[in-house]
Amino acid sequence: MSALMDVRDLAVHFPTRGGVAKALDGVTLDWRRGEILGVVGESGCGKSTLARAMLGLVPAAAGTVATDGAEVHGRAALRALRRNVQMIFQDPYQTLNPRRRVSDIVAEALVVAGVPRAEHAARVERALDEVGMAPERFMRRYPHELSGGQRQRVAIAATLVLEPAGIICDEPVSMLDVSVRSQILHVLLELQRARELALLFITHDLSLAWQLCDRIAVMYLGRIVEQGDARDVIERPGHPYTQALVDAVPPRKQRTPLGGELPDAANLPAGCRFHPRCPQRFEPCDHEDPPLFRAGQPGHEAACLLLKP
Amino acid sequence: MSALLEVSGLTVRHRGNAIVDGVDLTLAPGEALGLAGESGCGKSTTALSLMKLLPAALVQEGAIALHPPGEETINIDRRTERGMQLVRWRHVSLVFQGAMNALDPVQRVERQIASAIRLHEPRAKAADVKARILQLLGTVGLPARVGRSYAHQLSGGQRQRVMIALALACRPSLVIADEPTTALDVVMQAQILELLERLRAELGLALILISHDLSVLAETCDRIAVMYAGRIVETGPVGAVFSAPQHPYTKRLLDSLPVIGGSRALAVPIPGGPPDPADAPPGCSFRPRCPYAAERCERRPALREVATERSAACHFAPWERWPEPIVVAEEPG
Amino acid sequence: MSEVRRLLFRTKRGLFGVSVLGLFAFLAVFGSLLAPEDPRASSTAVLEGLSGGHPLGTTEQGSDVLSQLMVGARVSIVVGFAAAIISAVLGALVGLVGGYFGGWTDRVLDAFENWFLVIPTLPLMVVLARLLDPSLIVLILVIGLTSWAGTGRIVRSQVLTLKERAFVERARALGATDTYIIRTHILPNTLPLIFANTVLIVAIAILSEASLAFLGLGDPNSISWGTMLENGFESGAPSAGAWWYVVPPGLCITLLVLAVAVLGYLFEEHINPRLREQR
Repeated sequence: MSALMDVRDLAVHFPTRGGVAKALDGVTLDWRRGEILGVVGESGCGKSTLARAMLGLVPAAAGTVATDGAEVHGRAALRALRRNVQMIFQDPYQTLNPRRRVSDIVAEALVVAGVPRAEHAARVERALDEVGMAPERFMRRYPHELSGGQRQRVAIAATLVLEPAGIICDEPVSMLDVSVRSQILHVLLELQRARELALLFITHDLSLAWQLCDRIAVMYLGRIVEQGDARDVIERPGHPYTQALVDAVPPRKQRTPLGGELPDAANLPAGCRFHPRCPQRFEPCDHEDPPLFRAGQPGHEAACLLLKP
Repeated sequence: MSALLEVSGLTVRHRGNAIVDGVDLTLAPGEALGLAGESGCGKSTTALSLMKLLPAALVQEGAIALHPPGEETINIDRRTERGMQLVRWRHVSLVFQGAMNALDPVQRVERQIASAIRLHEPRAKAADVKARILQLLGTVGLPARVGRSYAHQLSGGQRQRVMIALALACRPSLVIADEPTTALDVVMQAQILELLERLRAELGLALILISHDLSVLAETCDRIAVMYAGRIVETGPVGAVFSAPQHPYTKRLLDSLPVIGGSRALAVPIPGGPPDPADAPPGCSFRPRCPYAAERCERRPALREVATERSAACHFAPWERWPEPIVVAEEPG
Repeated sequence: MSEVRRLLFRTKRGLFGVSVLGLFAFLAVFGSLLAPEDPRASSTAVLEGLSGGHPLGTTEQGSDVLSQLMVGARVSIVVGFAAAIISAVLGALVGLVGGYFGGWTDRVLDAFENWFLVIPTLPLMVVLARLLDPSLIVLILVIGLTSWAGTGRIVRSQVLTLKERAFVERARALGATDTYIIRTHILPNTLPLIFANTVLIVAIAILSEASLAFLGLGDPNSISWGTMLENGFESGAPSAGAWWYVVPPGLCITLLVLAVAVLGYLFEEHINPRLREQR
């Protein structure tokens, strides 16, 4: 599989009252064609910022983004990338303009991309069909006439009309009920198979990542602290943070949850950034910042000093 | 042990349509009951009606009796609004879903807790109230400085802890928590569930925990009641319901939960969504979405005992084994 | 189109708005031809009550109130609407551009807006009207240019929240241009606010015209509902019990503003699908 997107040392900084917050602090990631890649972590760990930075929605302070081996530079390249990689957001209530009909919402990508008007109707209908929304019933409706699950389907349809190679899904089901959630996941997975789509699946829930993803990357405070094959990472975590995330999935077997909250990204801890909350920290952790070490299977690596050879 | 809360025939109507339809519940002191189901199935309405907090357009009927330990029985259904004000927070309190909206943005946390205390103990001394606030913050695992903060200065997890401190302010015997962790990530969720468990052990609180996520209930509750279209369709001890569900709805909900280390295949989703109360199907209300529906399901099944401590509202219960589901025509939910 | 027609002609509110506006528009065009008397002609019948000859009584100059009312419609309506439109366009433009682009553009526009918000409007109008030659056009420009800041401020804050909404971010993720986003996502969602504010400005503009006219800075030859009100109050008509001098122009202004507001609300219903649903 070739890389659909290649992210190298990507950094995003936000000015805050307490100084510069390093929302992304040197992230390197490859997202292959046809692959479901999970990006996991707590709220505020930088996973949504990563998604936005990959599409150039927030300016990068350093690093590069490449697609199909070519670095994304300038407006034309960015436009081409945004055509090829689309995005679905968390909140289906926010993501659709309340004043536009379903047909307009789904056709928006075609309008923006300058696809001839004559093709719109057919492509919109096909996209709605693909997400299980009968076009003749739903085309003329407004978002407030739809349920949460139906809105998320519309949002998915809206990304399909341009036939992208990849879709970035930012917590696409975390606001939905369990039953609707599995309907939406079905839609996504079927599309992924039928169209050989690459999905970048952002979630805080490792059980979802377990079920869906081929590979996962675990983020903590703007860095990837562990990545590898999804089963390998979840069943044999190399990083104590990943272990804590696995343990937090209800119903929990391990009863003591990870304590504390994410530290301020403007005031990162010295050494390993996880050490203040880490149950397994030892002497060098507060001054030595670990790079990614190999953890078990090939391709599985974790940034923990316990793994230092 | 005698019950703390007894609810029988609780029905809530909106323009004549039943949103909650004949719900019976009992809760022992210190017990944790989980109320599960999709949004729109009547969980939150049930919770609000227990405190008589329903909006005026909704009419409730049915008996609700609260037996606070060492005090006289309170017949909530017969209480007036004025009378309810003495019950709310003093005996039963509520933790809302959106902690950001439930906290006053322009008042410091300590003032909000103080006013909850003063509502029921107007003559409490300032020093005592102050001490209580500090103690409450400690109980929910917050540092004292949080008392001086405003809601927007706190993280989501901290706000939910403040909400819990508020709910505990008047030492109630029952706390109702409506989706207390839905807006939080898994780590915060684990912390809040841990806190609720600890409080239950330390304070002997009874808890009604409402969630659409069965795995959250599995962890925290002793018993669960699964609601569908305003009715309870299954109840039982949490472990038993999880290992051997007795209603197709519960079964399908459980199947759709991903389990780490379990099968990675996606379960067949439950098609469509819950019925509109104004347009509910006759007979079993789960029938249109049920893969096992048969002719007899056109009659409404009653909630009946199907095993010890287990009840289910399904003609086919008890289920010995679950046949492969027949896929029902899909309707986007 | 038929939906608009139904709203306008089949609902009570629509009918009210259309007929009041229609009547006043008719007066604005033909009022001076139809007026029974010369509205400026003075007579000795000063502040006389209702009679066959003067159905709405006379002014302190002995002129016919009904004739003044009919002739005055033109200036009031033209000034009211023209000024409100200038003010709405300016306010919307400044609010949209400042709110959407932020940064320096916003800071400069914001300072400008603040300046217009804090300086007392009437003295500014007086100065402007003094510098320029008093005429109807000048009056419209002066009122329009001094009343846009409120609209700008409201639009700006609405745009600030809108541009954080996910559908705007989605459009940006699709690679949409700023013009596209403003045109399809931002503007339609701020239109109701602009409209609501503009309705208020119609009223303010009519009254401002009156104030300027009263200070001798309006077009000295024109008669409007505003000048009637001012003259009426100045001559002590209310305390003399001559209600017929002040009530009709006051009522006309109220009716006009009400009609505009009702039509504005119907328009909002038409473009806002959620409101249409609830009807």
